[in-house]
Amino acid sequence: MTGWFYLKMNKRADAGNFLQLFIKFIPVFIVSGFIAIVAWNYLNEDINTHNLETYILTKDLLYSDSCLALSDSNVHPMTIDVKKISDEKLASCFTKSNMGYRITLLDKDKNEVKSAKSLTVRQEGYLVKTKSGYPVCKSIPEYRCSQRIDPILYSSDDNKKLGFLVTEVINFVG
Amino acid sequence: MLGKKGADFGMGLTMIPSIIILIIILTFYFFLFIILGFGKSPDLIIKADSYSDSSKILVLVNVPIGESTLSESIINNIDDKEQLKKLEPEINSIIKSLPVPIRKNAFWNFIVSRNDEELFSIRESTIASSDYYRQSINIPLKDKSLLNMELYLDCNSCTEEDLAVI
Repeated sequence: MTGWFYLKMNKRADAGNFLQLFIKFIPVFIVSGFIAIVAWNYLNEDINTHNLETYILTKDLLYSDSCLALSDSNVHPMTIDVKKISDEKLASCFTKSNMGYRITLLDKDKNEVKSAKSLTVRQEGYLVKTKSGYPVCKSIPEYRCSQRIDPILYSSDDNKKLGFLVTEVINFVG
Repeated sequence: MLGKKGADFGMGLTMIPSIIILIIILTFYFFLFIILGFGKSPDLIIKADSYSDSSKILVLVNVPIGESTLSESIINNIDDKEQLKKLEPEINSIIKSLPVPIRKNAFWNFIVSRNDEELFSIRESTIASSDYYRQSINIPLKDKSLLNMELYLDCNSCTEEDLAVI
C-alpha cells in the first residue's frame, strides 16, 4: 500500500516537472521555429534568370560568326546574314536542355522577312498565341516564356538594312 | 506561502504574457520581412537595365541613310546646319521605329552634340518618367573635336518585365 502510494506521488511529481519544463521551453520552440521558417525561406529563394538567359541567347545569336552574325574577312556584330537564318543553323549555334526558341527577322516596317526555330513540338504548341495575345505558356506554371525585340542590321542583296529580330523563348522551370 | 513547486508554476504563468508578446513581435517580423519582403536586396532581382550594352546605339549609327550611314551623314554635314536639319525627319523616323515597352508611355531620345554643344536632338518625355538603357558613343572628328551621340529610353512607370522585352 505504501509503495503504491509513493509510486503514484512520484508520477504526479514527474508530470508536474514535465509541465514546468514544457512551459519554460515554449519561447525556445517559438524562436527556433521562427529561425527554421526564415532559413527555409532563404534557401528556397526564387531568382528569376529567364530574362537574363534570353538576353544571353540574343547576344550569342547576334555576335557569333557560328550563329547569325555577318562575316567576311571580319565578323560584323549586330548585323545578320539572312542566309544564315535556318533551323539547322540554330541547332548548331545554341542549344540548352529545357529551353527552346524561335527567331523572326522583321524589316523596318515590321513585315516578316525570315524565321527559324529550335523548338520541340510541345514547346512550339506552348508558344502559340491565344486570343488575348499572350502565348499559351503564360498560363502554365512549369514554363516561363518571353519575347524580346532587338534593333539589328541585316544584309540582303549586299545591302545593309535596318530591321528587328524578335526572339521568343520558352523555358521549362519545373 | 508557496513552496518551490508553487513558485515555479507561478513563474510559468507570468511567462505567458511574455510569450504572447514574443509571438506578436515574431509574427510582425514574419509579415514585414518574409511576406512583404521589406529591406530585401534589389540585387536578387536581375534588372534588364543593368545587363544592357551599347548595341542599340551601335546599330543606330550604322543604319544606312542613302549612300552612307547615319553617323557618316551627320559627320559629313556637321558644319552645315541646314543639311543637318534636312536629316532630322529621317533620323526621327528611325528613332520612332525602335521598339518600346508595350502599353507604356515610353520614348527613345537621341541627342547629338559636338564638344558638349548640342547640334540637334529628338526628345520626348512624360512627367515623372525615368531614363533607361542610356548609351552613348564618341567619334573623334578631323578638327580634333569630339562628336557625341547619346540614346536613352524615357519611360513612365516601366517595370522590369516591361524593360526586359526590348
